[in-house]
Amino acid sequence: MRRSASRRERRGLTRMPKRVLVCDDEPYMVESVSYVARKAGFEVLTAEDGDSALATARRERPDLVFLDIMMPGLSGDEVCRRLKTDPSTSRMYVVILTARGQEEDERRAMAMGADEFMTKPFSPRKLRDKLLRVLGDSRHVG
Amino acid sequence: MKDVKSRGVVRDAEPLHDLRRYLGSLFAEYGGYYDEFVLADTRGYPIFRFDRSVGATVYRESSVPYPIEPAPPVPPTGSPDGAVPAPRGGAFSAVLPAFREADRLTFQAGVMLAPGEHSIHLDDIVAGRPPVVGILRSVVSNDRPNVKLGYILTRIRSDYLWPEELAGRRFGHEGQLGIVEIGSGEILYHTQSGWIGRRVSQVDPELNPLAVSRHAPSAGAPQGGTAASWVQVPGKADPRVMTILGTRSAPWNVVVTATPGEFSSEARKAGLFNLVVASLALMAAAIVLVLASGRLSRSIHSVTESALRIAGGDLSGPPIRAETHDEIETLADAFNTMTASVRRNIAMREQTAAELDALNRSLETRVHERTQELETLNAALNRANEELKQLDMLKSNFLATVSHEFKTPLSSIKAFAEILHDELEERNTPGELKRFLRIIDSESDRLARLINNVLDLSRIESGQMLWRLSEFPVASVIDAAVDGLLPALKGKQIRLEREIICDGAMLHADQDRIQEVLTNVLDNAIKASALGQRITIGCREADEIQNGRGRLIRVFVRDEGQGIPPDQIDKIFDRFHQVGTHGLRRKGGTGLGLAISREITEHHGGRIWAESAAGRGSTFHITLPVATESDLPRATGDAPVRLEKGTPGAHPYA
Repeated sequence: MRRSASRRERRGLTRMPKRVLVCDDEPYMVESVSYVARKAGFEVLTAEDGDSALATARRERPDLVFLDIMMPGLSGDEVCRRLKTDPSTSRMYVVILTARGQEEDERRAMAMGADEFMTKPFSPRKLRDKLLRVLGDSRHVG
Repeated sequence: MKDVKSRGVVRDAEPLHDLRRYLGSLFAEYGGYYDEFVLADTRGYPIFRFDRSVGATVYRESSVPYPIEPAPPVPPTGSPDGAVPAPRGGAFSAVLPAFREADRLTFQAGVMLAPGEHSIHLDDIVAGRPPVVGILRSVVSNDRPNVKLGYILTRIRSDYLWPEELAGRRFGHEGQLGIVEIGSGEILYHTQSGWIGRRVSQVDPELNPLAVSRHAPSAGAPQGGTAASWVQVPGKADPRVMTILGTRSAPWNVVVTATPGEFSSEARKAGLFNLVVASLALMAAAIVLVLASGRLSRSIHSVTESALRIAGGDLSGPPIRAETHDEIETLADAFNTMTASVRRNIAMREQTAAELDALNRSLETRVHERTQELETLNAALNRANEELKQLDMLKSNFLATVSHEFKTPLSSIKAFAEILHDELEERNTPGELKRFLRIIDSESDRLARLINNVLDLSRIESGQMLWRLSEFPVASVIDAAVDGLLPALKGKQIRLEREIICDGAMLHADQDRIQEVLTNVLDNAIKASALGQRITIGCREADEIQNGRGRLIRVFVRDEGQGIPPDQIDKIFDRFHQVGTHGLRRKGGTGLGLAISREITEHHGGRIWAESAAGRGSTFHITLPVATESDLPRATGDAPVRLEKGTPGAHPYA
């Protein structure tokens, strides 16, 4: 209830595009994901380590966060856990995007409250489809 | 005392000029003046025992009998007229009597004795039998009279001492004989056996004052002399007569009482006569008791000292000299024989010990050397083992890291290739550039697969792979594999035929991994096939049966391709193996598919193999165990498990 009200409110007030935070310590990774997200019509924020990922997420309140696991500073797992345990950020859709594709990695990520677990290499097409499915078609908003 | 009037004192010493002769006659009469003596060290452990009925016994090392060879029989000694009887059994006995517990207790009591002091006690007190008199004397060194060397216990059977007529007769109705301890008044022996152990003051208070005080002979009397007092006991209507015999050293008095009024004139004579005889006999007994202990300790002092010296381990002393012509001399001889024997024995033992010692030392050296060698070897092995473990861990970590590191740039390459491809498509760029990008994409995929395969293989082989077991129909996994390869099948216009004659059979396995196996095998078949050829995929019940388990399903994939040369047929399951120039492995292959397939199959308890004839196609067979009833409850949602390879029992449903 509250969540949908908040969405309507934000749409009504700002008509801003949905925002995506991309966190990875690999610049090319950040760039490719950002490109796909931007092309899909979303506003993109980036971070290259765990601490700034957490800080940016808390400050900017993006709608969706891509998190690499192995980052300098806080790990993606930990950033995810902190976001999900904080009521003000717990509604963000968190996608773990990692090269560590073992089951235990996925289990741990899910235990930390992640909404989705994707492994690298990723397909930009599938990533775009996922974004559109989760956040709606931002291009037609407003 | 004041109520008791002394009637006279008998001095015993004066008529006994030759003590030895007198004693000799006594021995002849009473059969000897001792029955047994035991020598013990200061701890109370026995060293030597002489027993008239057994002979001599040498103890050594506490109370453990020390076996020594029996000495030749000692010729009987003693005067030819038999004044001193020869001890019976005067040789070392081969069978050693056990040291008696009573003796141990007796010797323990010796701790209370001052050096040179002795105590006299009664042993074996049994009602109705004359007691055995024991004399325990602490033996001191001649040089140092304050140092106790040990103890000597002399036992004398009192039936030698109490003459028949004394033991058998009573002194009228009221006459009594008793031995009373001076001071305490305890009755050590009494003709009225119920009184033994009680006190004079309890049973006959009128006697008490005299009975408990010492009646020593006068100062001029020889040591061991006795004094006898004749007194009339007051306080009774019919007065009694009491005789008390005392000595200087014995801690007791012999007390005889009689009531003269009992006796008639004739009987009185006999009674009085008896009383006199009895008193004299008692006097003699007391003399014997005291003198025997004194004489013994003096006479055998040298024997004692030697025995103690030997017990202390010194065998080098001169032979004991005793020319007393009695059992002491016998003892001395026995001791000398024993000493010599022990000395020989010890010399032999010392020699043997020296040889053993040398042998031991050489053995010890060798053992030490070998131990050191083994320790060095062991340490090296441990190090090597540790290094291997570390290497193995390094390898695992390395593989995990490497695959992760590979994947990161690969992700970028793949992502950008796809992005570019889509951009080009949006701009209607000619096909060739897009094809190049697709090649980049597919080769990236292949590289990613290769990395995944390497990682999987490493995980399977190291037993770290986790398997997600579930229950599913064989047919469904075959369909899934086929569906995944439909584009490739279409591309080569392969005619695919199915021979599913195991329909409905269920497997309990890791579905994704089994599908991977079938995909690998089918993919190989497609690659081996020429355009438009036929591939048959199917399943049926296997001919073989898994050891001790249920049925096996055999899945097979048959192609009409060029086949595999016979010398290659087993090697195709090795990693990175490529069949000749016309290889099984073509573009898109990783060279690890069959190796992984074999690992997966064998970890499920199955088998994979190929049949082929060059030019006539190949058939791949995979056997997998059919799910059993017991697997059903675990059909879904099972936690991942680790599986062992190959062995039948290792399969999770075994």
